[in-house]
Amino acid sequence: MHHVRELTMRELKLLLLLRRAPYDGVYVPEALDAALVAAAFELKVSILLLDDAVFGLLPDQRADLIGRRTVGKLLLALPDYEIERVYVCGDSLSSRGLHAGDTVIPVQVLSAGEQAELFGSHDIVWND
Amino acid sequence: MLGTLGKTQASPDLGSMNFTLIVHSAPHSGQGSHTALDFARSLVGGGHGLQRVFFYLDGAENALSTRVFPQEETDVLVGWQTLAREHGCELAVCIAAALRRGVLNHEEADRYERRAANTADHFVIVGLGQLIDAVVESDQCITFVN
Amino acid sequence: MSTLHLIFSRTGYDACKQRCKHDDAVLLLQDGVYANTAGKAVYALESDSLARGVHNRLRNATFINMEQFVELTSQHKPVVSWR
Repeated sequence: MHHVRELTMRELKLLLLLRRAPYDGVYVPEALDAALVAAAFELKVSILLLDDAVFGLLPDQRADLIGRRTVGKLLLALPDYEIERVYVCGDSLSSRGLHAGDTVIPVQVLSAGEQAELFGSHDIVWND
Repeated sequence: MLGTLGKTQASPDLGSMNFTLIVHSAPHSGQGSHTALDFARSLVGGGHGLQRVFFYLDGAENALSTRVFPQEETDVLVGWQTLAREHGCELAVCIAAALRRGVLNHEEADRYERRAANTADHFVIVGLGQLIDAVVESDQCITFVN
Repeated sequence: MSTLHLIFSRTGYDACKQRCKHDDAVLLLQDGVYANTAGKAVYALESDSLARGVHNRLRNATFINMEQFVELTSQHKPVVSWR
């Protein structure tokens, strides 16, 4: 059985699909931890936020007040791990009264159809 | 669009693939662990490769040795252990997910001065790097959720 | 390869259905067999459908067993799970 790493230099494309509200348990920080480790191992990592996960993009989060890690701060640290591609569902944003310009980090807004294409362009999709 | 699927008798050999399975579901709070176990059995039965099952988020709770299953409920703990023993796949539990859910092996129980170690046999506590290793070296990755 | 969407609940189906390409495959399993697919062609895990008594209620579903589920996952990439 050959090792993939010996045979090819392919970079696996990993998409982290976040759908949970940022403080629904600790699932979102846990899922982000896995994505950060993947990026440290040089996988190409992107993140897609939809449904209540878009609330993680609100600026001015202070989750230390409830004894938790602040998801907004975790997102701000993504470029340190070379995770630059953060996508958000346009419908999820607008139906929650949020706007791409108001988000804690720059995000690329995608339509549902564009999100369908995004899945197809990745090798692995992980969840929160 | 529906593709073509082989019927239940011998399908044409599509070639065996290596899989990584991720389990996010705890035995009592969802069905994902049971589905993953049945999937894993069919996987190895069909000649595919399964090096590692990675238990993350609430899936880490599958590694609790102290769980007692009522009679009418499938003992997925025994199921996973049997699969690991018979097919040699690793049951890997993420250390961070395990600790926060109270699943400790002897080393961690000592380190954190907890009264008991409760990681079931055949489950190993590992870092997230092992998940990355697994997906890099396999052809397909599937996550089982609630 | 086209994408395989695994639907684990009704809410999962509602979230997934707009985010599917025409040639993607969709498999209902666990509580996903409760989804109202409005006649869209999907796969459904037979054991979960029978378990929940919805086998006769899923229109235009192709019921598959676990071996066929495995086969499906060898034909599509990536596999996306929808809680």
